[in-house]
Amino acid sequence: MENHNPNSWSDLPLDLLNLVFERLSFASFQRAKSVCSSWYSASRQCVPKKQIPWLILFPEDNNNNNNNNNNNNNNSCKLFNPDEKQKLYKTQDLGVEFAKSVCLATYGSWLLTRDPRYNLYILNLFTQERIDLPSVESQLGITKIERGLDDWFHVSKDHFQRQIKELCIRSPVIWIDEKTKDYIVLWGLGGLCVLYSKKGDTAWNQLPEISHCLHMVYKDHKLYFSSSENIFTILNFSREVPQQIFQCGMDLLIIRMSLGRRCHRLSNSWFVDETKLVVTVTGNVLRVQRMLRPRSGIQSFRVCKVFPKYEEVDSLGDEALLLDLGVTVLVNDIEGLKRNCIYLSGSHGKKKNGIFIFNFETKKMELLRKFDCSSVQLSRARWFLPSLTHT
Amino acid sequence: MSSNKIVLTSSDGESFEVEEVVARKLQIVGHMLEDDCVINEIPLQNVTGDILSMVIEYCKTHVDEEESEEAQTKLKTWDEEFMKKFDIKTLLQIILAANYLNVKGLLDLVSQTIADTIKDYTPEQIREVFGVENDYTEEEEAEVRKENAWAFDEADTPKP
Repeated sequence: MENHNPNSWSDLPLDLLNLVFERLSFASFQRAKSVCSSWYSASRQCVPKKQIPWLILFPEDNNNNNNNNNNNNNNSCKLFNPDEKQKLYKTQDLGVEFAKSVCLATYGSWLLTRDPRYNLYILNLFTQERIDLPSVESQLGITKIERGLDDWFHVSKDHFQRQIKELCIRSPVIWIDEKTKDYIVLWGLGGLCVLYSKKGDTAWNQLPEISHCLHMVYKDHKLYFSSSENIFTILNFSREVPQQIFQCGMDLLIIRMSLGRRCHRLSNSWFVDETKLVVTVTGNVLRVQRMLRPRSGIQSFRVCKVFPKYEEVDSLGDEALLLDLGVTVLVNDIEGLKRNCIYLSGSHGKKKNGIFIFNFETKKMELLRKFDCSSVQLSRARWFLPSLTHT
Repeated sequence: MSSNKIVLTSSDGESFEVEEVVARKLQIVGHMLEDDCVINEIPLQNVTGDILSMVIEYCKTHVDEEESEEAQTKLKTWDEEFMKKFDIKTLLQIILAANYLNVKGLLDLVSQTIADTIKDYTPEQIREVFGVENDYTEEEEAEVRKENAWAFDEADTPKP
């Protein structure tokens, strides 16, 4: 037993420092670790417990306006933490021209990014670590992608053949382990097939079990997949070969599905504009439909539980739903985060000058913050859950 | 309820007579009582009288934790007020005492209070407030800061 009591905060035992550090928000955590070496050591042994989503804002293409904002680096992003509403953080130069490259998906602080030539890679927002993925032409399976001299793609599957200028990367998802850097990336090549690539792969594997990809979520080594034909499937990826472990139909009597993907007509002129899957904290699978009244642009959301019984849900409880990530987070006493709300990214809705959430209780949109559209591409902004990567 | 009294003695010889239920909130005491139930005086080597009296005040208030929402809110308000009494130096002694005496609730409360204090400060401000010496060399500090440069580099301040 130690018998002396330390008199300084730098001598506080590590396990006690950890108790404090794990209660810090992501940004405070980062600042606190540069206080002194013992605090730094503590920071390496724990992670913040409270996970609050942040918004990442990508820079606007400055070529058009002659760089009148000189400080506006085209290669760095701005970060908005809803708990520190008055602040905007700025990342370092990430070496990516965001005006031309697109962030397709995120996992923690990792961005799945595609450059103008359809090269895919994973990039860490804070450490700038980069992992290149196999080229889209490297395919294992019956669907082939070839690149012509004119940079168009030739896509073929059995008798299907098409020349296309832009590949349709549908519902890309990513998962990565912060320590081992094991990863998996999945996306739908239009409705043709679903592809995945893991750490060590040099090509994209095709999943013969599923097609007509509409939306996917990857969580805890499981792929939650919904097809445009209203079929819901779960595939288990924890073994070498993915295995289908669940399948069911998703139907409500009032919806008669047509083949067109957008705008399925519901009653009283609401249109379903977008349908996504969301996996909750407790593992429930929700199907979220964003509905629009075409004239007024008013939007609303319908949320249904997929199984054991397909039924409408009228509250998200103490959770906040992050549509960009296909997950919910527990709000509890996290400041700055609102329960029973759907967090929408910039691409949602007609109002393009701010970030909104949809309050599920009042069924109304609420403005979270206005942004200056001339410096950021609000339409590409997305929510992510910042994570720590110890280097 | 047992009204058995127990005497807790601090490192500087101050004695506090408390009810057994209160003393048991200090898990270190709880364990001693389970090992041998005839003790009625317990010396606590690692805590001074002024800190021990604070811990006892916390335990007395939290002795019967009611489930009702009203009671919970009241306790929460009390906790907040209780924590406001202490300066940074005392908070350090309290977190050490809460850990040594093994009072889970107090340990959580004081950790949260410290975390809330750190929240909006820059590293320089934290050093000043907490009286922590910067033991980095200039190069080391630059290196650590580079890892999370974004956490300091605020972009344009938005209009409210």
